[in-house]
Formats: sequence, C-alpha cells, structure tokens
Amino acid sequence: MRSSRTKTLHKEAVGVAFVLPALIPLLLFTIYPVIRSFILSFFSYNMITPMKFVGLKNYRNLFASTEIWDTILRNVEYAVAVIPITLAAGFMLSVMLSGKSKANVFYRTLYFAPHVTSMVAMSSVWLFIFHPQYGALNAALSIFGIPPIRWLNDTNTAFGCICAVTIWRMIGYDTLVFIGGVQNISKDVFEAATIDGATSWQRLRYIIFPLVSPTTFMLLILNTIDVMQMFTTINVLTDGGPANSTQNLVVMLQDYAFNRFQIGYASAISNILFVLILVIHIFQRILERKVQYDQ
Amino acid sequence: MISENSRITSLKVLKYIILSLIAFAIAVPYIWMILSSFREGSDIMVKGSWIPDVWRWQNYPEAMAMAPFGRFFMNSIITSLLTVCAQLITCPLAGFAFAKLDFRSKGFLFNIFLCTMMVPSESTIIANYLTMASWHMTDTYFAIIAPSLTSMFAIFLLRQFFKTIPDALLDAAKIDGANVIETFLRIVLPLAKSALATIVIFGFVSSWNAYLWPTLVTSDTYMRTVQTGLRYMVDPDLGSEWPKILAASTVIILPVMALFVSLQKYFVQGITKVGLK
Repeated sequence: MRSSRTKTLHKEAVGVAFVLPALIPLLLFTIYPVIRSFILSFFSYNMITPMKFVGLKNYRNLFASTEIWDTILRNVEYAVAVIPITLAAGFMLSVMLSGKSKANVFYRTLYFAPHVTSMVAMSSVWLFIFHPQYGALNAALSIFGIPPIRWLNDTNTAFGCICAVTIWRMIGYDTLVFIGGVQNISKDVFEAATIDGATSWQRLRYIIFPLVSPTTFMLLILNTIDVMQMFTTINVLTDGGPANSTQNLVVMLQDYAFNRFQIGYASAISNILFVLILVIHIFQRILERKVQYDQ
Repeated sequence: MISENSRITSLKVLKYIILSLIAFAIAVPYIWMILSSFREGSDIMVKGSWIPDVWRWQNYPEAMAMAPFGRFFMNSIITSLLTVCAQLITCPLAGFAFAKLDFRSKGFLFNIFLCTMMVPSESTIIANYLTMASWHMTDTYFAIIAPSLTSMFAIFLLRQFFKTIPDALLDAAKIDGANVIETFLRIVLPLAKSALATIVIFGFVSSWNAYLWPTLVTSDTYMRTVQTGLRYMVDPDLGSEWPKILAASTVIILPVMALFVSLQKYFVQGITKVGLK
C-alpha cells in the first residue's frame, strides 16, 4: 500500500519535473500577463506617476469612442476581404499541386516563401512598390496612361493595399495546409470514383471539396486569428493611417500603450483583442465537437 | 481518343500557365527588391526598365554602413540561437511528459497548456513590457527572448511524434535498468531527430523575423535586432537612399531564404503535421 503511494508520488514528481521548464515561462509571460492586463484596465497609469484606480472608466470611454468600433469593424473587414480569396486560391492551387513531381515542389516552395521571409523587409519592399513617385506599381500603370496614385496615403486605396500584401503572404500557407488535406484523402476513394466514371470536375466538387472541409474550417479559424494579430505589415506600410483607415486592434493598442503611454486604456483594448480571439477559439471547439469528423 | 488526349494536354498547359502566373505574382517583390538594390540613387525613378542602368554593387557595403548592422546581425543571431536552445530544453521535456508519462496532474497541466494557446501574444505585450521594466531588464537579450522560451507549436509537434513511439520500446529500456531520464535522452530523443530539426528551424525563423516585441524592449541602438534596425531606416521620404534599404532587406532575408530552400521538407512537415493535428 505504502509503496504504491510512494510510487504514484514519484511518478507525479517526475511528470511535473518534465513539464516545469515549459510551465514556468508560460506562467510568467503568458498567463500572468492576462491577469495583469485585466487588473491594469481598471487603472489609470502612464508609467511615471503612480497607478490610480478608475473603475470601469477606461471601458466606458473606450466603448463611447467611435475609434474602437471603427477598429473592430476594420478587423472584420480585413478578414472578409482577405480570407475568402486565400481559401479559394489555396484550395484550387492545392488540387493542382498535390502530386509530388519536381515542378509541383518548386511551385509550392515559391508560394510559401512570403510566409517565412521577414515581413519588415518585405513590407519595406512593398512600401517602395506602392511609392507614389518611385514605385513600380505607378510606373507600370503609367504605361497605360494612368496618372500616379498615392496608394498608401489615400483612404480609398490604403486598406486595399494592405489586403493585397496579406493575401500575397497567406496564399502559400493555405495552399500547403490544403495539400496536406488533399493527400490525406484515401486513394481508394479516387479509384472508386474513376471506376464509376466521375469527371475531374465531379471529383473536385463531390469528393475533394467535402473531404477537405475539416481543413477548410481549420484554415478559416487560423486565418481569422492571423489577420486579427497582424501588425508588421500595417506598421511598416501605413502605421494605421491615413485617418485610421487601416488600423486594427493590435496597431491601436500599441499606439495607446507605447506612443501615448495610456497603459490602462491600452490594456482595455488588449483585453478586447484577447476576448475576441478567445471567442473564436471557443466557437471552433464547439463546432468541432458537433461535427464528428471520421478520419 | 485523340481529341480526348489533346483536351488533357491543353488542360495541363492551362494549369501550368495559371501556376506560373501566380508564381510570378508571388516572386515579383523579390525580383524587384534584388534588381533595385543595385540601382543608383539618382536612377531611382523607375522608367520602363526594371534592370538597373548601372549595377552598383557598393550599395551593399554602403547599406551596411548606414547603421551598425554588424551589431544588429550579431544580436539577431544570438537571440535566435538562444531561443532555439531554450526551446530545445523546454519543449521536448514537456512534449514527452504529455505523450508518454503517466501522472495525476497531467490532464490538468495539459489543459493549462492548451489554454495558453488561445492567448494572442499581442495582448500580453503591455504586461510583459512592465514586467521587464520592473526587473530592469529592458535592453537585454533575456528580454528579447523571454516570451519565446517555450513554444506550444513545438510542444504539440513533439507530443504528436512521441506518441508514435511504441511503449514496448520504453518498457524494454526500463527492464534494462534505465531510468526515465536515461530513456528520454538515449532512446526517445535520437528517434525524434527530424521532429527536433523542424522545431529548431521554426524557432530560429520566427525568432529571426520577430519584430513587435524586440522593438518594444530595446531602446538602445546597440541592442536592436536586424528587423528593428531595418525598420528604423525605412521612411517613404528616403529618396535616393531607397536602393540601399532594398540592399539591406535582401541581406536580412538571406539567412532565412537559405535555410528555407535547403531544408524545405522540414518546413512542409511542420506546417502539415501541426496544421492537421
């Protein structure tokens, strides 16, 4: 009896010891910040004078401002403008590239490159491409007699530019994940379909598309979260401007915290971001539990 | 039959036309970055041709001299390597515990780990910055790597992998008198080489490319990483300095590009394995 108890204790100690090196940083730099941001959002603090408890004032001011609603709306607009395109393109490309030929590997590698190369460097390149005077885009358009456009300084075009760069960055990632999904489909299904005389379109529409739907759903969630966390592209290209027309929640919270030193107010924004992403995760869990995928 | 064949051929041609067009669209910024990085400052107005009139190789050394880039590179290399080392300690241990060890608080701890995956790192930057400031640790390497000492991505990938190791193998080691740590170091880790390579590469690349957090915790120019250093140089009104910025951008993405091209299969593995759970 006693030995079995020491044995369990020993097992417990070993297990916790293995997990501890990862648990400590998670507690310090992920879990504690969530609690601290929650507390900070009830205070007024500028990093110099002592913190002052203000109750719900930060949230009241925040929700009374039009800026937060515009910014949340912009987050949604980013998702709506970018994700349908990356998902559709990713799916089509994955069907074309699912084979393992040399050419396919080459295209896959190339498409995926923007996902791994520094977005500070590549956004700088895009900044230059969009440049009203020196940019390649205006130079190309001038061939067709189109006068120079101030892409990133115009509220009508800046948002579209950021979306274009984001689509450019995400397509290869979606393609790669979809390829994993397509390759997971059993060969028997395709053979059966071929014997039954299914055309390529029918195979695409009635076999591949439904069978990769778990991948599609997962990518929808991943892409949404990715867009909500986007910072570097916006920071380099427009820094949220002109007139906040490209600002998302991350850019807004960074601005209030580290340019204006309104720590309490910025913490409230950061909690909104946290809650929105949490809601997406919970939504994903619930749906995944409801739809029983048989894999 | 002939018409059927020609239909298939023309579909194939169409397919490769589409793929190549998209490939071109993806590659344009890279091509343009490299070509323009050799331009002369006065040649900056792009008139028709993408090819520079004069190939100005000096742009590269001059770009590196615009800021202490040697120092930035050293900072980036050190912080990226430290991140990789830290993750190589924290992640395999936790991944192994969750995959193969049997202890009472496992379920509880695993749920905590799962919950942290839902926390966007951007919503932790304010509190983490205050933590670093109160520890007087801003402008240190530790501050730059602190939030990435461990990685849930890596823990998950390794846990998936360790689960595929048959229990019989671990039991055999136990019978031979090996304790848990010996089994882990001598049997489990050598089997996990390709999974470990994947997490090393992902850890290195994400640390190399990190921007928001390193910018916040470094105010001293000499503590900046390449990303932060480059960002401070970029300004739309740079005028004739633009080709040099593009030269600097090229240099900064080079290490990651080299890794990516030579180790492509590990990138694919990382994305498809974790992506699909």
